[in-house]
Amino acid sequence: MRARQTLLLIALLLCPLAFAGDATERAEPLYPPLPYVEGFPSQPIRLIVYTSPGGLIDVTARRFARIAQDVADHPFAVINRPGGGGIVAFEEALREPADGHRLLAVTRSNISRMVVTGREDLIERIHWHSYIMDNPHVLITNSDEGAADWPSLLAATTDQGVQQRWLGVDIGGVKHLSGVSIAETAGVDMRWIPYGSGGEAVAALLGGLGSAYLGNPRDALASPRLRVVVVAADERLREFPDAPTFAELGVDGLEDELIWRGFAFRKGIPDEVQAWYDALIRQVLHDPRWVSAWQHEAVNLRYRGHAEFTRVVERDRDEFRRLLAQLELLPDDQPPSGLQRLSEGTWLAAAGGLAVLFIVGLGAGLGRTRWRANCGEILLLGSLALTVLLAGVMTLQLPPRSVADPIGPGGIPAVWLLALAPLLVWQMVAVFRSPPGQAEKTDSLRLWITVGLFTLSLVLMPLLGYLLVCLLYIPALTWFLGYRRVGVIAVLTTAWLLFSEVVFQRLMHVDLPRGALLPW
Amino acid sequence: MIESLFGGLGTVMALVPLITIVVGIVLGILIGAMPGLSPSMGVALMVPFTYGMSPTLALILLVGIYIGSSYGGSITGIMVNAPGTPSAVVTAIDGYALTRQGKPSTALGTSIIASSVGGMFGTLILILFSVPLAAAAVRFHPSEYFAFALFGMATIATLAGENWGKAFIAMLVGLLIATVGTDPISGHERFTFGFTALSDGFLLIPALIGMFALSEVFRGIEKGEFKLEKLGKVSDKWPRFAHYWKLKWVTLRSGAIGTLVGVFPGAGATIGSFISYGLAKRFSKQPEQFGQGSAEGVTASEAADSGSVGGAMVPLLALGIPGSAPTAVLIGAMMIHDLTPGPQLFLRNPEMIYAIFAAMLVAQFVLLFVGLAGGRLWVKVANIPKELLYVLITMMALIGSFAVRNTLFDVFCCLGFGLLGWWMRRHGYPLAPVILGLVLGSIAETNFRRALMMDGWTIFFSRPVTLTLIILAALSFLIPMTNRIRAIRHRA
Repeated sequence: MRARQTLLLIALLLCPLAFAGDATERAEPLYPPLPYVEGFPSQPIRLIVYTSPGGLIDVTARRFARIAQDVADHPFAVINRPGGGGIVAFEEALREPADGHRLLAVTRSNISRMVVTGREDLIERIHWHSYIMDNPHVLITNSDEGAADWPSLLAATTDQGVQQRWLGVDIGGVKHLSGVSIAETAGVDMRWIPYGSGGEAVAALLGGLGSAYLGNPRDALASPRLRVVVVAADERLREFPDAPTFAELGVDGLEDELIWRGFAFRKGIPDEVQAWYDALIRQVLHDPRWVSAWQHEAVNLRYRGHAEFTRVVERDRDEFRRLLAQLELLPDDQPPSGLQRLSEGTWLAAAGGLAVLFIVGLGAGLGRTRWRANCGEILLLGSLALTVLLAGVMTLQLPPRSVADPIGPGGIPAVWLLALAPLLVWQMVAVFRSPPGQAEKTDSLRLWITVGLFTLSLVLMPLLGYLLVCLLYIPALTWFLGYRRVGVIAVLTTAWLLFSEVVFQRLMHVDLPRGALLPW
Repeated sequence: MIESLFGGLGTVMALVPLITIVVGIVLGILIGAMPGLSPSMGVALMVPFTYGMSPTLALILLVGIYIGSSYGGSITGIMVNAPGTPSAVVTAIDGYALTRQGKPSTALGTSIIASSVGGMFGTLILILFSVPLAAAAVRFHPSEYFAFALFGMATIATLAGENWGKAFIAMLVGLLIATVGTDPISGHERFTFGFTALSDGFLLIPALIGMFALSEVFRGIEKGEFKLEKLGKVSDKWPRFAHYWKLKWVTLRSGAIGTLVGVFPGAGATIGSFISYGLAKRFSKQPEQFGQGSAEGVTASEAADSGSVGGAMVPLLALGIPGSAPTAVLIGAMMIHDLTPGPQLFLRNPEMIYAIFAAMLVAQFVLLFVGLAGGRLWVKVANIPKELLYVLITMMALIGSFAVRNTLFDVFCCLGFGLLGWWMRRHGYPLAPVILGLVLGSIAETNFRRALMMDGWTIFFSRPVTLTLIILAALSFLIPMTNRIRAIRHRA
């Protein structure tokens, strides 16, 4: 009976795969074959996206993967590696072997991010393979709440002297820089209000909280009240035929404010694999499904090969350097002075080391006093107090507040630190004033050995690999904790490894660490 | 509308859509229950499997996963104090306390009923009021988001219990941790020590797993808690109808709060759970039970969490704007299926919209049945020898943290949070306020600064909603505090 129920459950779980068709089935060979490359591809191709799932680049990658796996007759998996505006994704691609199994989905935003964070080395280490599309930036207004066209938007500044609020996303990002360029060229007095995402900014525009939103044309589809008032391209968009270009409005030099998307991989990929990708990408870009998917999205589908793409990247980098320098957003090259020097790496490491020594010394000292039972809490509060002190010094390094940002990056951390410091003192006093209690009976040695085993397994993982570490760690810890049924331990270890392999490695395409010494 | 809804029900009440809903809910529960897999990751994971489906069926599957995973996070929270999602942190406070008392069935039963009813409430609100609610939500000024976050933070006064000083310290630690990473307004890096992996701050998933799951393991090992508690020996039965009936007002109120908070883009289920929990305690006849294993506490957070799913779907369907991380993935999935989310979808594909509405309603019933049936299985987790359970939790912490970005750095962060959580737990510092600070810190800071950039300081006093919320937050904070001070004086 139980077996029947289990089979029924498994059958139910497998049902969506039966409907899923495309995800698993092999397509008929409808496409011309790609160039043969010995031993490639030998594993699923990972398409690394630098944002969380759901953004336009994520959709681009997923649409591409869907068609590419038919063309190549090989699985493609989209994996999201958000963080640092692309730095995390780029670093992951650079960590992996140059065998061509990882393709980066890239946009113009990556270039501005690398420049603003001082990580231009990543631009150099990446092979910019193919530029596949772009869309111009547009200014969108809420016709119910304000200007319905560019002249009235412009008039609000020039005639009424009102500073406009342009809503968008992150400061120093490609849209912000486009906004700065546009405002500067068109003579608009603008204040950029950064939101967490394009969706939030569009919602704020709909709520009448800004004069305009700068972003992708498709954002205007959220409501009929949204109006594309001007397009930063050399010609009008088919989807928004009423929206003029800047050139038509007599503002020159704004024909190329756009966001591009493309693919890249780490340098060092064999030439024949690059040629394989050339053929694949060209086939996908000409696929009717690809063309029809983008036909109402206000996107220009245009292909540029490696050489031309690299020139575009170089040009953008120079442009962003200029704009970011103008906005004083480039990493500071000035040496720190006075107290600021304390937040420098070496000084900070020294201060941190001293703090640890102080805490250890305090612990040893308290162990012999009447506060022995409260020693742990005193050390916790002491550690937090030292952290507050160090963090306080580090906030000095942050840029000061300004007219545009009246709080500044250090303002809020400073508020939390100032609130935490007296509470820590108050709590410390309360601990010292409380009558000394009985120390809790615990097995600290067993705890620290467990923590040690866990830490050791993490340290050894890059050397021995996930598989071997699990084979050692699971039985060792189980045995150490006092469990002695060898059969159960063996089953547990095997089941865990199978679970990791199937769910994480195969289904989620999480590359579990392979060892440098034992690469399996 | 009624006709369209019946039309939608007609589409859903066929074999294939029903099986799809069941599969979505089951997979969602499993995904949510696994520390390390968030609802948005779960939905994204299944997108490739929908390529061959019709757009309606694909969305039904993905919405099922979203609903299932929002509930699933509470299971591990209740059974092993390892909440699978941030909003389940609040459920774990009382849910795990009930499990430790040998009443996991009570906790699981309460949580599934609250989830299902809260979710149903949220769906009904979505069906009836999505357009006016979306119109109201977009008018929310950053100052109001800030006041909302402040209101959420004020629940610290109710979470604190006797040790309010410790709870405040814990929340401030969370708020401070939330400032690590790239400043969302100026773009400058703060407290990252040059680590690229910290440029987006500490990730919530490793922090959550470390703070709750690892610290629980460390504490258990240190105390030598290996004794097996056979459930047969404790008097735990699945609650009867009368138990749930007593909780009806908490369920409805929390479902409504969760739905309303979910409507605001970026606010998230976690704020809704914390606010509902705080209010439930305030209105409860047995506030002293909160934190010690209160069914009302479990109900409040779970109903709000599930209600927020319906709320988050409001801006998605009415405006094409994501109300939460999983709805952002749903927008992507719609685009992959060549659909344009937003008002045009109502005009071009009304039958699909009503099929989704109907599927969400049906999914709540499926969740109820699957949850109740599965609950009997989850209860058996308490029978697993602790030595094995502890090892499994450490492995889950390892792989769950690693899977987020494929880097061991996040696993080390998880270990760091585990040790901090252990240290705090050992000395009576509550952990939920740390997560409260971690989640709300960024929302409060960005919106506070954004509001100032837009309209200066006066905005906090000139907008009635902002001012009301700030006053409410202040009262929520001050009243329990003064009551406590009075009680201490009275005792003295």
